[in-house]
Amino acid sequence: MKKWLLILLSIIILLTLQIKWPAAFSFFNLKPDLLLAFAIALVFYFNFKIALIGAALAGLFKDAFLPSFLAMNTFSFSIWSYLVFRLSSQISTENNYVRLAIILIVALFNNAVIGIQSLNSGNFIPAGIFLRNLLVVSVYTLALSPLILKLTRRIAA
Amino acid sequence: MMQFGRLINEVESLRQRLFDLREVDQENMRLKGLLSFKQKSPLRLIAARVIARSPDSWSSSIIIDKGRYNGIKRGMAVINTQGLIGRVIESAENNSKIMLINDPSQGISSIVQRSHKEGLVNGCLGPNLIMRYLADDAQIEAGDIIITSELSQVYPKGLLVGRVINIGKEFSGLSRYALIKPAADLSAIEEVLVIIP
Repeated sequence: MKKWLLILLSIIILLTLQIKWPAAFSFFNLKPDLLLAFAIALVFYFNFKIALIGAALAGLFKDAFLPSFLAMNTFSFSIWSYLVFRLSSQISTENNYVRLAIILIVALFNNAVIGIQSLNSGNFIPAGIFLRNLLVVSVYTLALSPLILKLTRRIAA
Repeated sequence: MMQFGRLINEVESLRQRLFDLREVDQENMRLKGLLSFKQKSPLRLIAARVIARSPDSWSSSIIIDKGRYNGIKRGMAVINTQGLIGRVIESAENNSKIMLINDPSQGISSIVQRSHKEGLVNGCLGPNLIMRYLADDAQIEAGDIIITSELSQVYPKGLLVGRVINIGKEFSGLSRYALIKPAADLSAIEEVLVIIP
């Protein structure tokens, strides 16, 4: 019960950080996806049930603040959580570098999916801005992931 | 020695107060400008404060602290003292979600103020907007002012969108496009005005 409360509290804090992200720390007006990093970090430290529900919750909270009515993040976070769980049974994810590499790959794929979905719905995003968003957001997410991993490890302890 | 320490603390505390006062002063200036704009404007306006921004980088939206209780409804146009900001896409009891004009799903029917040539202004997530479907012979040049057209179903006619900074030819070669610098600084919005139709 205490762990659930801590996970919920962490999601709320990370979401608040994301929606109130200081302008001084946003490069090209872009911000890191802290909730995605947290959703993936849950897989490394908790059992699958907790990680999946945590990821879906993180996605749901994020979707609530987005203009799109499609619950895109709720689905994508849950799917990434499942895929990373499957991957972690195939390879060793105990090393922090491996975990960071997984977060970077997931962030790249997640951003690509969201960007392509936006283009597919008829929106106009120039190629330069698409690539800039894809790379800067993913690398920024990776740069802050060690802190998210530390936070998740503390909750799991 | 103790007195020196106390003085250091006092300087630190006064410095902190100075920063706070500077922030209050800036806010005061902004609110004064907003109030004066509201009084002079022929439009019926509701002032609101920005409380949150979009949590991701693939959309551009803000949340304001006024909602249905204050008479804000879906579809209403949002401006600030500098120009057009966006439109209300969701309205709850005490807050509303605003889609900014640089969101890629925004399309604003606009005209070039000087020549009255029409085009569609789209957001593209970056700092600038793009005006598309301009006729090949449309009279448009850098520095021209872009305003909302009367064809727009959402925005009242004549709202300032921005200024042309560059013009190019579409890939198809059939029409031209113009890059628009929004009149409002969309990355630093603190207060907005919602237009009541």
